[in-house]
Amino acid sequence: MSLVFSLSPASDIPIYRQIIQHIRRNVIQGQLQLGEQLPAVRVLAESLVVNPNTVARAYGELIRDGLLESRSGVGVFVAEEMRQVFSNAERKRRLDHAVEQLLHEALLLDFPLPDVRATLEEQWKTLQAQLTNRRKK
Amino acid sequence: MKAMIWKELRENLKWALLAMLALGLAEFYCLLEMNDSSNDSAATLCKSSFLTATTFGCAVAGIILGLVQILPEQKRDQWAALLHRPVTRGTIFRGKAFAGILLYLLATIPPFLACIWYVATPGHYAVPFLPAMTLPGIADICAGTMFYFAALFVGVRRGPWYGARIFGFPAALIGSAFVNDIFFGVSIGVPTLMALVLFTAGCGAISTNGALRDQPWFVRFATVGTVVCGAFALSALTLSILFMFSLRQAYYGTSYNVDLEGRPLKFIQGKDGLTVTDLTGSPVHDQRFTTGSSYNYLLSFAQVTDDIMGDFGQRKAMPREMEEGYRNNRTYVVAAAGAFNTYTESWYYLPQERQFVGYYTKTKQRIGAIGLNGFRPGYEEASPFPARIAASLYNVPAFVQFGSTVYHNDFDQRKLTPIFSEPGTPVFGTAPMESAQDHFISQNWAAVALLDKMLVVDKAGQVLATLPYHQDMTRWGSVYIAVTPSKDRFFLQYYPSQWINYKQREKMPSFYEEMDAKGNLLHTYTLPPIAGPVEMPTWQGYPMEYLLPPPIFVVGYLAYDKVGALCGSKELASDLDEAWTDEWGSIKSFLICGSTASFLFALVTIAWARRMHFSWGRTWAWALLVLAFNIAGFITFRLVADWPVCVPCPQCNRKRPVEEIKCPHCQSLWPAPKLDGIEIFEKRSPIAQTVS
Amino acid sequence: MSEQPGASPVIEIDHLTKYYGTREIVSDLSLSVERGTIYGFLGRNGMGKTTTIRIFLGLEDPTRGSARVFGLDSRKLPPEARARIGYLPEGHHVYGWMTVKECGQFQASFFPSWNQDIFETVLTHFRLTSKMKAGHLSRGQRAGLCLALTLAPEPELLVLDDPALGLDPVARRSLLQSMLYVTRRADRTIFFSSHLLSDVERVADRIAVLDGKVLRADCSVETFRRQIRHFVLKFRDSPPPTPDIPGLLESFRSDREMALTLVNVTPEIENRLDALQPQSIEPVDLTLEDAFISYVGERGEKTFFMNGKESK
Repeated sequence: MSLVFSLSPASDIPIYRQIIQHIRRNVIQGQLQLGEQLPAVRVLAESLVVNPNTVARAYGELIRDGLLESRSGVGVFVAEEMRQVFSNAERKRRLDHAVEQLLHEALLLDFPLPDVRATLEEQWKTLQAQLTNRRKK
Repeated sequence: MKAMIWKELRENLKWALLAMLALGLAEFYCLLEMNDSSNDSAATLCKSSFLTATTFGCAVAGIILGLVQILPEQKRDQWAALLHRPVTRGTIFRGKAFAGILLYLLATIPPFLACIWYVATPGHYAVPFLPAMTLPGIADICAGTMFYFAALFVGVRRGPWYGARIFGFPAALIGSAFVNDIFFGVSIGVPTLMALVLFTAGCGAISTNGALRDQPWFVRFATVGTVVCGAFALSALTLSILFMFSLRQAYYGTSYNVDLEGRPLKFIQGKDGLTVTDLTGSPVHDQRFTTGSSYNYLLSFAQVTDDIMGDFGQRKAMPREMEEGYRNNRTYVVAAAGAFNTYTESWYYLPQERQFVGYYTKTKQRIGAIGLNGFRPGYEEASPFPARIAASLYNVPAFVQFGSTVYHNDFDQRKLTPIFSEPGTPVFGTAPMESAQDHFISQNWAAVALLDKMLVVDKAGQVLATLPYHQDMTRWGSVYIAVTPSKDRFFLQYYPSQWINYKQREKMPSFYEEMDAKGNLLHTYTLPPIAGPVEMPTWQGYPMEYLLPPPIFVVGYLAYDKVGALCGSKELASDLDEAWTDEWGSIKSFLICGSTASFLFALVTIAWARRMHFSWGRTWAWALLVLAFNIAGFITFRLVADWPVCVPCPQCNRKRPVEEIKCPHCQSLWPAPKLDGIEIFEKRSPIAQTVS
Repeated sequence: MSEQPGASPVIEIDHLTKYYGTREIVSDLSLSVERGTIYGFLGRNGMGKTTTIRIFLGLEDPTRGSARVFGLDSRKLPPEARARIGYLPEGHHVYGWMTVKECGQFQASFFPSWNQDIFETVLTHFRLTSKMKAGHLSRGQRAGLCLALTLAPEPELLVLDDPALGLDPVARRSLLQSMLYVTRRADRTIFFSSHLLSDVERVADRIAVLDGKVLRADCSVETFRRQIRHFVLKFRDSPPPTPDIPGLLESFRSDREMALTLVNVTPEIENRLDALQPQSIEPVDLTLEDAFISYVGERGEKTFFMNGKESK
């Protein structure tokens, strides 16, 4: 994961949330391997020029979400297996929310449903392939 | 602190050098434009124009160097950065002061040394140089330190410029008034003391954030002292500018004279002009007396003695040489002959060395000295006369008296010839006779006052007339002498002796005695005392009488006299007597007026202080100060006391001090600020666990 | 003298009131700063931030109330305590005639614990060399020099008064990095005032907002953001008059919309919004800067001041 990324401090998204989003993106897109160690809180904080507590908070939430795990004495790592920490209801709610965003965007851009579906399937296949490749390593 | 000193020195060196240059130029300008005139303002380091340069120059240098060390650094946050250091504020101040004094000395001493060198080097001035002549300059340099510390105080103290701050300068002004004292010790001591007070006040000013009450006692004392002195100076200055007319309206105008025939006359100067009468009062109409050159038609009287039999001689313990004070040229060098550069030779009497020295006016080289052992050429020292000279020299002295020996003096011959000396016969005064009509008399005749008679001698020592006294010499020992143009009749005029206090003297008559050369008394005239000057305070004078004198000074002065009188000092007893007479204008009236005003001010102080919720202890302390110092104390009270700021109370609407938690009227506390619902307060949360 | 984080507060301000003459500058301010926090002190100009800082540093006296640093009365801070406090006043003043090296030597002579390495590191960071004359430095370089002078004694408490004033973005970034560097040790505390909300958001743990002489907020950055919320209400026709709701900071009405900025929103307030019967209520996330501006700005109804027809 690149240690330095573009934080938008004057943004309506809190900084810790931006860090969370960045880490998640890196995990999904493969820059962060499963089981890979993340930089120490202080190191990341200094490279981003933010308060270490903010980084700690971001890590804390991701640990709670199950994406990261903390090994005492060693550091913070990407979890090997994504633990599902959410209840089914909560999972469904989050998915509904994300889909809603996607569909709003598609409707505004005036895409018919079949095109949306096609794009969905295409990208899904690509990501799955990446994930599988990484698991093999 | 070393770092502080180094920084201050580096930072302000350029100012000190600039001041040194300016001072050097000013002093040298004064030196170079002095001519060697052999009159009272001889070209020495004591000349008033030169001393003006040193007095003002050193004071201004002190002020500038002080302000330059403080003001540029007082941009709000730079000052904060200076004070927030792990040293006490007193240390910072001391560092600045130490460096500042070094810079001040750098600015003032080298120019002065250069001037000393220039004056002391033979060939520059036709005037002798004595090391003691450097004393006034030294005193001025010392006094300038006072102004330096005053500038530090003014710069450092918080508050508006028109408040207690600015009083540092007039306080220094008061100290500098003492530089003109007769004694060198006083002129160094008082300014040094004042400089110390100002330094302490400055230390206090920098150590506090505005309040006086947490400071140690000597700091409070110094601050109050500074402001009191300053207030006194300012109020005196203001009052005297506002009421520029003299305090007293004096009205002089009456005198006695004798015409050339020997007739005593009374000259009365009135509002409409001069009236001349004889002793009975009948007017004398003579045009000649009303002109400006009336002296040509009157006898010229020369003063021979101050007093003969009183204790006036023992009274002044101070040597006559010092009467003029250490700052006066005449203490060191008295012009004796050859006024102005038109003469080829300039002769001086040196009171400390008790000899005469002469200089060539053109080449400025020393001719030589005339002392007890006669003339010594060049730069050789002559031996001093054993006794001091009897009278101050004011013009070309053809006759001088040392001890009880009268000499005839001839500078051209470089000789002092004793012409009258009788062991066991004290001489109380010698004076060349005066005559507006006959120049010969002034050059060749002298009057010599003995215990019971006056002698008239010529320059060879031959006695021309013997005139016994016929008055009570213990009380009328101040004797003047004149001779008629015919040279056969002499007039002695007897005034009351100098040791008698002036109030009594004013009531005593004086006398003329007319005698021939053998001393036969031809006439005696009693001259009634002339009514003293009418002294009435003008209406402008009243405020100065009421507002100005600090009772503490007056009381102190009287106490000093009283104690001295009790210890047996006649002089102080006489001073006390003089001060305490019943007429307007005396110390008594000052005391009464000043005390009345002080008392009223003190009452106002008490009322005001209590209204401002001062504790009783503080109230009495301030009231005492005001009682002692009159208006100066009152001004100090207003400016220096920790004056509470008052705003209207939200409950009862009367003014309450902002520093007090409870309102003194309605006892309510200050209301908490209104909450308007938008407050966001969060309890402390534990610091997030840093995940390592 | 390191203590455990969270022991006793480093700065304690207790019912502080300050008057200049008869003018009240600060009114009944109470604040405490824990050891190890980075505390941002916010407020508009002239609201008393610098005054408050001066008071607890002992450079001014409080009119009422008190302030303590390291448990010591601020009016009587001894030199030993001052050695542990680093103060960077506004304006970045230096003695212009000194070189950078001389500035360091001058400062070092006052502090028993002077770390020359830190001094040089910060200097290098800001691209300063020993021989440069302080008077010739640019604003940003001066800030760097002052920062180096303040950080080198390794103070336990760092007080910065508007440190980023006048700095270019690069210098500002370096400043933030230096501040974070200080907090490597858990017992170091930073108290700073700033107008740059984005910087505050990056580094501060907690903020205190001084508004109208009074402390109005004392919370974490996150809480502050959370408590200030912005809603856009859409209506079919012209919107009703602005309701009188406690905590209303700003409102803006146009043809069919009413936008409200509210603080401390409770369910009851949400009900009152519903009671206005809008077509829709849309919550909008605010940046910290927008939230702050609404919080300390003028209350009440806003109009476009350019448009004369609408101005009231």
